[in-house]
Amino acid sequence: MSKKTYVVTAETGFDGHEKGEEFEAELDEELEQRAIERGSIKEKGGKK
Amino acid sequence: MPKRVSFKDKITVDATDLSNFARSVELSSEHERVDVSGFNPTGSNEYLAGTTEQSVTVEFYGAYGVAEVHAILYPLHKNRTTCSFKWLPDSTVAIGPTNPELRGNCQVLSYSPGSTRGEADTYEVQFTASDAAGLAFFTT
Repeated sequence: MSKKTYVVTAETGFDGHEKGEEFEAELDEELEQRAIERGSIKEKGGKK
Repeated sequence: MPKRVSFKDKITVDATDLSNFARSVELSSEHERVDVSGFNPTGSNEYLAGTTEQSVTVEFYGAYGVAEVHAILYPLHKNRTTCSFKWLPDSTVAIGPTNPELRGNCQVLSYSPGSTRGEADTYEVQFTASDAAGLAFFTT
């Protein structure tokens, strides 16, 4: 795993970050997948 | 320690802040009572603490928006996923001895949303501790 940059896309935030905030993290693969599927975050520069 | 009225609590499920969608939280932590009584003159029972069963019950408002209550909880239940759970009594103060945070990895073993005409849509969700670390309060 390597660190990626994410943008928080939901009002409910993610991992202490608020909507619109960018953060860099090495997320667990399953947590990342769940968070992207439900619209909590998106990978910066990744697919929408 | 001062008494408190609850309204600044922070509830985090699977890294998502669901505080504004929750209105009550209750930890249950119980050691099994194992009877190890032997014959004795007083007839008193003797017990040892056995295995530990832990869970947290949260009453949520039903909300079906993006990354809101249903979107977080239903996949966790449906896929038998283990997720992180946190409860901090005061979200405006740092974690510490006077503001301990409850943390643990949990599963949502049952999920029962519903609705009643004319009433706020609420339902209780039980988070059951699902690994050896259990649910514990941390001060750092």
